[in-house]
Amino acid sequence: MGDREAFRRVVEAHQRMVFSLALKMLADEAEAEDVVQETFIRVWQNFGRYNPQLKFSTWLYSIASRLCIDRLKKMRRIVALPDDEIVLQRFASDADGHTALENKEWVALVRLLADGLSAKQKLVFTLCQLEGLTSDEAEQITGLSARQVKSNLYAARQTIRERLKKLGYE
Amino acid sequence: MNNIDQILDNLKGQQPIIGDANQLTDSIMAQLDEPSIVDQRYRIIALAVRTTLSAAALWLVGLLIYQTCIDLNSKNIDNQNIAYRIDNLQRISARKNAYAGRQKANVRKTISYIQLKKMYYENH
Repeated sequence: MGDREAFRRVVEAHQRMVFSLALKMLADEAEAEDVVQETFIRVWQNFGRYNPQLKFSTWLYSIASRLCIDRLKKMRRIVALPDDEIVLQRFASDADGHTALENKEWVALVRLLADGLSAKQKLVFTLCQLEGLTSDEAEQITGLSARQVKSNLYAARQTIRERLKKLGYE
Repeated sequence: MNNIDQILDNLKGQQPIIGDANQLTDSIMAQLDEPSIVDQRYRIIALAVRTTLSAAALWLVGLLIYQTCIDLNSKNIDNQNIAYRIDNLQRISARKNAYAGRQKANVRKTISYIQLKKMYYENH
């Protein structure tokens, strides 16, 4: 019983972090919530395998990112919609740039920016650029080498820059 | 804010909000003790594999028993045939021996008669 209560607190403390990664990867709110549920169920079932040398959040991210990659393979390709540009325009025209985005807006931005990226590029870009993690953490989460993380991040940034340039941004 | 770097920087670290976080937590907690879909799949596959292997094992044992029975039957028939042949051969060889013995006896008689005749004429 005590374990369950403690675990509930762990879920409450970390579910937003997992949801954030899943929403930015999958661009679908319902899918992201499913990933959150599946991630914590796996954590509960495999708690004995947790390596205390890793940060708990790193372990959580690695489980969630594997689930996201699996779902991406099964999902249809995420394609940008015409209205997604309006969301980007609104976000870009925000003077201070600190307006919190709603989930629908996140979905629209991810659809627009991540269109055409490979699953690995999308994961590394999400972790390093959107979630603000370091390259070392991204290596531990993805299992990729430093060189692979760097090259995937560079390729993703280049693709997104080109897309933004086409849309009139400098 | 038309600068690409600025757009990307402003996206950094922003976290979307879960619509109903408490409901999601409750839902996760409720599912903790339920067997996962993956577990259920593994169970179904394991059951199917076990059933197939049991059926295959039974079939193999049956096949082994059937083959053994057939082998035993064929061996019995072979043994019976061999016994019959040996019996026949023995009868034939006994007849041959008897015939040969008679022939020998006749030859011996003939030889002794001729020899006796020769001896008789040689001596006289």
